[in-house]
This record gives sequence, C-alpha cells and structure tokens, in this order.
Amino acid sequence: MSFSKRHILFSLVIITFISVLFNIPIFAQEEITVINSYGIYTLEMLGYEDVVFEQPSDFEKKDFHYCLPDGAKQGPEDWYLIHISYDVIVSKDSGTGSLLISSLSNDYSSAQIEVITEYNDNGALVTTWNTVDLVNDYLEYSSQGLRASGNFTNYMQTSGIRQGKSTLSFQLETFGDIKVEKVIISKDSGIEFTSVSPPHLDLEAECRTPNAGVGAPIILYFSLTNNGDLPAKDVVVTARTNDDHLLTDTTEFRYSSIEYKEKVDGTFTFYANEDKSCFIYIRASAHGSSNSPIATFTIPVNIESSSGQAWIPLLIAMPTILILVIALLAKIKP
Amino acid sequence: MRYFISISLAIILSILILPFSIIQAGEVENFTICSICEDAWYNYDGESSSYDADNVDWPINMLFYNNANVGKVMDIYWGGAWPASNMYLYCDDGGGWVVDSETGSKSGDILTPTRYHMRIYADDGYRMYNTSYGYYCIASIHKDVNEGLPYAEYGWSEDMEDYVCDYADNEGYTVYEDYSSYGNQIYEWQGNHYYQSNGYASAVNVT
Repeated sequence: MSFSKRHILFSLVIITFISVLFNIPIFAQEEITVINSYGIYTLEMLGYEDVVFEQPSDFEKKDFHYCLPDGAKQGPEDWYLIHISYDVIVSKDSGTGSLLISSLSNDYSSAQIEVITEYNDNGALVTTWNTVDLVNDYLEYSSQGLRASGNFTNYMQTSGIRQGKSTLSFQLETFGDIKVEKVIISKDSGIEFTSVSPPHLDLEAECRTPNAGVGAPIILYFSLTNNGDLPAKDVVVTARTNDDHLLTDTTEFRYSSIEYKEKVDGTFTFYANEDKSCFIYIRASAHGSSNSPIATFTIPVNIESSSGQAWIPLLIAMPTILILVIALLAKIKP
Repeated sequence: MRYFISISLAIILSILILPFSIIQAGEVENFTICSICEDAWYNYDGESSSYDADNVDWPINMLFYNNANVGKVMDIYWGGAWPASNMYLYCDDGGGWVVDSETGSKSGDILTPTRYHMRIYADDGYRMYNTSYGYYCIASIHKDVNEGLPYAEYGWSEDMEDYVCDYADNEGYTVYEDYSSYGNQIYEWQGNHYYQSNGYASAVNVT
C-alpha cells in the first residue's frame, strides 16, 4: 500500500486541526523561562550551563533565550540588570592585545569587559582588565598572571528590554596579538529583575537677584535631592557661563554620596563687569544617576540697578553714621 | 661628526613637524553642552585642556553607540593618526567633567594630499555608558588638505560626516544621518579653516 500526495496532505490537515482544537504542540519547542517576579534569573535557572568559549577566534557570539511579560520596559518602576561572572584564561604564547567581552540583550549592549595583555617592566606578559557600568563608571583590575576573573553588574540598555521572547548574547572580539585559551561565563550569570532604581537627581534652582547690577553679586541658589533608591556617588553640581564678563569664585560643589531622599543645597555667586545680560546654567551629575538635571538662567545686568543698589545700603546707614559722628563730636568737646 | 649629524637631523625633523603642530583655533558663538541621561559633553572639541568658545577646534558631529568604544571605532576606520596633535573634549559620564585628549584616526599617510581625520572621545576607559546609548563615544571629523604646507586648508566637517556615514553603511553598520541636534551649526571660513556643520550629529550603531 502506498500513500499518495493527497493522503499525506489530508493527514497533515487532520493533525493540524486536532492540535489546534486541543491546543497540543505539534513540534517540540524550547522551554523559555518568563522573568515575571523580582529576583535574579541565572543562566542555570533559564535552563543553561556554563558558557564556554575554547580558543576563541576574532569574533564569536553565543545566544540564549528568556522571555519578558507584557508591558516589560526599563524603568521607572521596574529595572533589569545584567550579572556576569567571568573567568578568562590567556594562552602562555599570547602577544599583546585585547579581548572585549560584551553582553547584549536583543542586540543592545549592557556589558563590556576589556581584557588587555601587555608586557610589564620585567618583560613578563601581564593581564589588566577594566569595566564601565552605570553605577561605578570605570573600574580597573590587574593580575600578575594570565588570568582575569570577576563579577560585573549593570543596568541594562533601555532598547534591549522588551516584552516577549528575548535573546541574551555573549560576544567575544579580539584585537592585536592576544591569544585566549578559554573564556567561561558562569551559569551563575543572568538577569536580575528588581524595583531598586538607580539614583535620580532632582534639581531646584532660583536666582535671588533677578535684576543684577555691574559689580553687584548675582546669587543663584540650588537644592538637590536624590529620589532614586541607590545612593548617588561622586555628585557634582556645577555652574557655568559662556559670558566673559562674569566672574565667580566657586563653580562647583562636590558630594561623595547623596543617600535616598537626602537633600543638599548651596549658592553660587557671580559678578558681572559689563552691563549686558548674562547666561548661567547649573547642572548636577553623579555616577549611576539616570539623569543630569540642568537649570538655566538669563539675567539682565544694568548700570542703573547697580548704582541704585549701591545707594540703598548707604541711605540706610546714613542716620547711624550721623548719630555716631554727633556722639563722637560731643565726646571730644571739652 | 656624529654629533653634527644628530643635530642636523633634529633640526630638519623639527622643521618638517613644525607646520603640523601649529594649530589655528576657531571662535564660535554656539559653544554649548549636549546632554542625555546622566551624561554630557560640549558640542566642539578644543585646542587646549581649558578651551572655551574662543579656541575651539571642530564641531562634534558623530556618535558611535550601543557597543562602541574608541578602539573599535578606530578599527572600523583608519587606525591611529600620524602626525596629529592632541585635541581635547570636555565630557562627563556622570560624576563630573573630565577632559579627554585624542589624536584620533587618520586616513592615508604623510604623503597623501587629502586626509580624513576623526578624533574619537570618551570619558575614562575609552567608552561611556548610559541606558539610552549603551556604550558610546563621540567624534569630530574634518579633512586636511595639503597639511603642513603654506597653502594648506582644513575643515568640511559636514562633507566628512557624510563620508564617514557612507563608509560605515558599506561596512554593514546601521547608520542614522543627522540623528540628533548638537546645536553647532556653522558655515564660515576662519583663516584656512572652513567650519561646516548643519548642527546635527549622525549616529552609527556599533554592535
């Protein structure tokens, strides 16, 4: 008995109809874990083992899958972080060069670990490596041997976070004469889903001298609050101007850390030496902050208000001076 | 005799290199900062580590983003630059302003009459990071014509921006021409420098 094409087609239609009717998958599908509650989802929890690259070529990339629920996005309520535990073994016969380990979500990068091999003063090949992330900015490490290992964490790139099936990639690129024996991305690496937001700075600023005069102080007051969950580190508030006729003593305030909901404040004082309007901006930034707020001011400066302002304290002081002079004269008189 | 030869060589070399190290600074009226997320940078690079609107070099008109760094971008284009002077850019990857100095990437060799010169900047570590751009660096690009000679001319940044975009496109990168306004529109000659920018930077997605 032989099956004709018609038989095969009829069978396929019946199988498809039954599978749709009873929701039975026809082909075996990859089980993809949905990241839908707060916590760290390691590669192991996503169904994968250690990611191993043996003697990698100039460019290598390995893909893994996870799923995000409807409405998933990076911030402001929910946040996704990449965690990477890495171990790099450089070949003994390596030359100088660099290896770049990247991690991308849906082709958007959130990790760069740069491993560099170079000769030290004694002629021995040594390994240094560095990372850049949102919270810590630039970090550098070194070892006297040919191994680089550590842990890396970073808030993921906004475009890489989207609902549905997603791809997490680990990518290696080599430059120069570096030869790598092995790169291991541990199965403990993964994606963290959290409500903990990076630092967020809110700046309020006001000019307390709306009509300044030549030579008179222009006082700008600011207050800065960290409304993110993590402390803002290395916070800098700067006041700058492009106008040559403005002079100032203090152009920046620095704070090593501003905690959650903590508020700091200060004042910048400028002096104009020409009667034309001036432009000043105040900007706050911090390591790991999700923003850098700016406040701008255009302040008119004129001679009239300057001379007027200069006379006000003199007029107030005049009666006091007169009384003092009279008292002094009365005392001197025999 | 050896001493005489050494001195002569040093003088000849100095004379050859001198024209490359004479830098004509530009003056602009739209010198300002560009900002995204927690990061910021100025819209022109400058000729010293404390430059301002009166001694700028060229407009910043390129953004390399997503998974970029200075080394990768130099690798896409022409590697290092020689001879080339260090130029400077104020940038801030969060945590305050720093001044990055770069000689950049340059096409051709010293005998090539027209060379393309791109300086690629970032904060510490040859790349900056924020959640919008990922790993990124920014660049100025200009053309050196008969560099070092008395009739040398420099500039045409907008034309060079188009060239750099086409180059990246041909290499398979996704390019967005005039992606973002950097507020540095300028079309004017200052000495032998032609400042040419439509005020927008183009972006290249480096994966």
